Amino acid sequence: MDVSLIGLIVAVMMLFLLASGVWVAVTLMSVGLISMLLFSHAPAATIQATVIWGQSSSWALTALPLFIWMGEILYRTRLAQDMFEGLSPWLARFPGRLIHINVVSCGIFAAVSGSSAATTATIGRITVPELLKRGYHESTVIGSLAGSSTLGFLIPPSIIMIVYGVAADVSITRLFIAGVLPGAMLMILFSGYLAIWSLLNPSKTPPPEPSVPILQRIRETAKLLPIVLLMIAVIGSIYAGVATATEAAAVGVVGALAIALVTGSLTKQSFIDSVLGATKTSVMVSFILAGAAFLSTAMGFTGIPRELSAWVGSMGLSKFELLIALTLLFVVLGCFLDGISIVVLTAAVIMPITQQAGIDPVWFGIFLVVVIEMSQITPPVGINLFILQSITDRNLWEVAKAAFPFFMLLILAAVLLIVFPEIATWLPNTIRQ
Amino acid sequence: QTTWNMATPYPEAEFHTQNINQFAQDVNKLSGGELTIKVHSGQSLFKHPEIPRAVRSGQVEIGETIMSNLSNQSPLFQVDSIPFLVTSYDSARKLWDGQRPFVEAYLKDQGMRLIYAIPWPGQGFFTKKEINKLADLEGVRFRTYNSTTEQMARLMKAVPTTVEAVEIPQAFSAGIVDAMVTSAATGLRTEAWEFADYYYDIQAWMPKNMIYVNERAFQRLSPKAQQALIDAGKEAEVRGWKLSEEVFSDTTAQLKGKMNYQLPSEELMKGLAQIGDVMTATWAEAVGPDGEKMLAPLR
Amino acid sequence: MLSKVLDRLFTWSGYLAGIFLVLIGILVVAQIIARMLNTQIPSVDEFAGYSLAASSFLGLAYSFRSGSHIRVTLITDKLSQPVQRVVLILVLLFALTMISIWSYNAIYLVYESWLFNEVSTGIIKYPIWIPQISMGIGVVLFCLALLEDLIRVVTGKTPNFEKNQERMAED
Ligand code: NA
Ligand code: NA
Repeated sequence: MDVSLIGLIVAVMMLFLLASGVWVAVTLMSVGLISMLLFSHAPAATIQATVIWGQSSSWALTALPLFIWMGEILYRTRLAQDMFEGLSPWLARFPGRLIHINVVSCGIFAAVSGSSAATTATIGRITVPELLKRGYHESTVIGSLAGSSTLGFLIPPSIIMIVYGVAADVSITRLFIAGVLPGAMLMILFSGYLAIWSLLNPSKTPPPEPSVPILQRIRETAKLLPIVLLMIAVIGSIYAGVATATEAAAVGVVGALAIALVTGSLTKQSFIDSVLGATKTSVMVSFILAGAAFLSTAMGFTGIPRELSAWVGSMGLSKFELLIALTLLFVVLGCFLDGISIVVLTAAVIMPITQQAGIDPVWFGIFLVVVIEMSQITPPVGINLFILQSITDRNLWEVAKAAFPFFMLLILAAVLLIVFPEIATWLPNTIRQ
Repeated sequence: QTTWNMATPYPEAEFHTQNINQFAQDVNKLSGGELTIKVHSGQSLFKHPEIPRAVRSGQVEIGETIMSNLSNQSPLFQVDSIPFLVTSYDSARKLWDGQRPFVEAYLKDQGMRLIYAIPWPGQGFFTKKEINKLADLEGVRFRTYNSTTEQMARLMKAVPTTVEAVEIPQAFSAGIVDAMVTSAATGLRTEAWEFADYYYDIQAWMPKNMIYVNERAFQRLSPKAQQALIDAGKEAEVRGWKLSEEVFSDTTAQLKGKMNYQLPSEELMKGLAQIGDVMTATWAEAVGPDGEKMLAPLR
Repeated sequence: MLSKVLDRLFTWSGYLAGIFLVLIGILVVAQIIARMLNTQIPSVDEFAGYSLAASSFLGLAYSFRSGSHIRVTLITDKLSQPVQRVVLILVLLFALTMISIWSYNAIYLVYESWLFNEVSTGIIKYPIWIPQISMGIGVVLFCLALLEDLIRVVTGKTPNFEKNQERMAED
C-alpha cells in the first residue's frame, strides 16, 4: 500500500481515538500496535514489550522524576511566594511585570535540565499557581510556560542535541555551545512579545502592587536568597565536577529538601505528599513517553517517516526550499510524534540530503531543535501540552490555544536562523579558533 | 520476494554501518532481488542491549551487536575486551579464528546464526596527564563502562568511575574523570582534544561487532537467498576488516595533528601486559578447557 | 468489599512506586558521595534505570485511579449524558483490551528472559527477569483498575478516575 495512504490512516486513527477520550498514552501505544499489525509483518506483540521495557528502564530518563519531585517539594514551601515577593518590586515598572517569570525561570532551569518535559513540570508546579493567585491573565500564563519550557531543548544540556549529535555525527559540545545564543534570542522574543502584549492589554494585567521604599525593597529581595542558592548548588554541582548533568537533578532534590527543612515546611506528611504527587506526574509522563517510543518503533517498521523524508529529498529543491519543506515535514510529523522520535526516525535519510545541499550540520542541528520544539506544543500530540493540561486542569484545546502565539514566535525564530545563520554558528566558531 | 528488517546500534557515519549498507546491497544483488534488507541504524528500532533479544525472538530478522555487551551472558564474548591480549589486526584475526566456532555454537543454541564479525580499531588511552609507567595511573579517575574495564581499572590501581558515553566531555571538563580508553576514531568524533591532552596509542584491545540472523527466518529463505546472505557476509567480513584498518590509520593520523600523540613507553607496556596476563588467566580459569582452545591460535 | 481490597492494593502499589522514586534519588546521591570518596557503587546507573521502570509501572494503576493520566475530553464533553456514558464504556473497553494485550506481552517478556537465562549487561551480573517483573505486575494491576472502573460505569457509578481526580490548580 502507498505510504502516504498508510500515514493518513494512522493519523485518522489517532485523531479518532484521542477525540473519543482514550487516554493519550493508551492511544499512542494502541496506534503503534494496530498499525504494526496492519502494515508490517513484524511480530507486534513481542516488539511492544521489548521497546517499552527498553524505553522505561533507561538511565538517561532518571533525571525526569527527580526534577518533578524537586518541583513538588518546592511547591509545598514558601519558595514561590518569596521569589515573587522578592522580584516584584524590581519588575514594577516593566511592562507585564511578573508575567516574565516563566521565561526567566525556564531559561535558568533549562541550563540544568536536558528535557523540555521536565522543565514544564518543574517550573509549572512552582510558578503557575502563584501567578494565577496574583491575578495574571490565565491564558498568557499557560502560553508563556508552554513556549518557554521548550527552551529545555535549546539551552544546553539537551537530550535532543545528544540524539541529533550521535545520529548526524556532529560534536555534541559544539551543538551545546551553538544553542546558547539562539536560546537567549528566544527568551528575548518571548519576553518582548509578553511586554508588547501587556502594553496592548493593560486591563488583563493585575494592578501594580504599591511601590515600596528602598529599605523594604532590599529586605524583600533577601527573600530570593534560597532560590538563588538552590540554582547555584545545582548548576555549580555540574561545573565543579560534583555531579554529571543527569545527577544534578538529585542535587536539586537534596537542595529542595534542605530549603523545606530550614523554612519549616518539611513535615512527615508534606514529604509523603511530595513523593506521591511526584509519582503521579512522573508515571503519567513516563507512560506517555513509553507509548510514544513504541509508536516511534512501529513507524520505523512501517517506514512512513523515512519515506516521507526521502520524498522531500527527491524533489530536487534549492537549499532554501529544502529548509521550508523540511520545516513543514517536521511540523506535520510533530503533530503526531514526539521530538526525539522524529530525529531518530528521519536522521538516516535527512542527514545525507542536507549534506548534499551544503547545509552546515551544526547550524542544522540548532534549526532542527527549534523546529522540533514546536512539536512539543502542537496538538493533538504535544508532550508539553499534556503536562500543562495536568498542571492547570484546562482542556487540550485551551492549552494549545494559549500556546499558539509562542508557536508563531518559534516559527519567527526559525526564520531568523535562516536569514542570520550566524546566530547559531558565530559562538562555536569563535570559541574554537 | 522477502523483506528483512535489520536493527543496528551505531549511526550512519560509522564505518560498521556503511559496511552493513554495502552488505545489504550485495545480498539484494546476489539473491537476484529475492531478499531485501532494510537497515535501521542508530538504535532507531531497538536500544543496543535489546537487539540480541529482538533477533532471537524474530522481532527483526537480522541485527548487529558489540560482542562485549554479552560478556555477562557468556565468557566467550568477554575475551573480546580483555586488555592487552590482542594488540594488532594480526593477533585479532587469530583470536577471532579461535573464538568463531564457539560464537557460532552459542548463537545456534539461541536459535541464531552468525554471519560475520568486524573488529573496532584498537583502543588507546586518552588522559589529562602524562602516563609513562603504570604507577602514573594510580589514583587517576578512569572511565569504566562494564565489568572488564572496571576490573582493569582496579588492577591499574586507578579509580574506576562509571560515566555514560554521552556525558564524557562534561565529565572530563569538570574533573569527574581524568582518563578513558577508546578508539582514535571515537576520540576524533567526540573532539577529545577539547577535554583530554594526551593520546596513548596502546591498542589495548579490539572488540568486535557481530552480525547475526534469526535461524527460523533464515530457514524460510530459498536456498539461493540463503547462499546470497552467506556469500555477501563473507565479502563484508573481508571488506570490514580492511575498512577497520583504514579507519585506524586515518583517524590516528588525524588525531596526531589535534592532540599530544604518544606511543606508550616500554615500561608502561610491560606493566599493562602484566595486567593483561592476570586478566587472561582469571578468564581462562573461569572458562575452563574451552578457553585454551579459543586462545590456541594466539599462542 | 472487593472494591476495598482493590483500593488497598492500588494504594500500596502506589506507595511502592513512590519508594522506588525516592530510591532513584538515594542511588544517585550515594553515587555522588562514593565518587567524592574516590570509589564507586557498581552498576548504580543500571539500578537507577530499573528503579525508574519499577516506579513507572507499579504506579500505573495508582495514578490512573487518581485521574492523573491525561485524556482529551473536549469533544465527548459536548455529548448528552447518556451518550457520554456509552462512549466512556467503549473507551474503557478499548483501553482494557489494549492494556490486557500489553500485560500478556509484558509477562511473556519476563518469562522469555527467565527461559533464556538473560542477565544484566553492567558490572554486577544478575538475571534480568528480576527488574522486568515490575512491568508484569504493574501492567496487570493497571488492567484490574480499568476493569473495576468499567464495571463501575456499567453499573451506573462514577468511575474512580473521575471521582478521585484532584484539581491541582485549585489546591
Ligand atoms: Na537544557
Ligand atoms: Na505536537
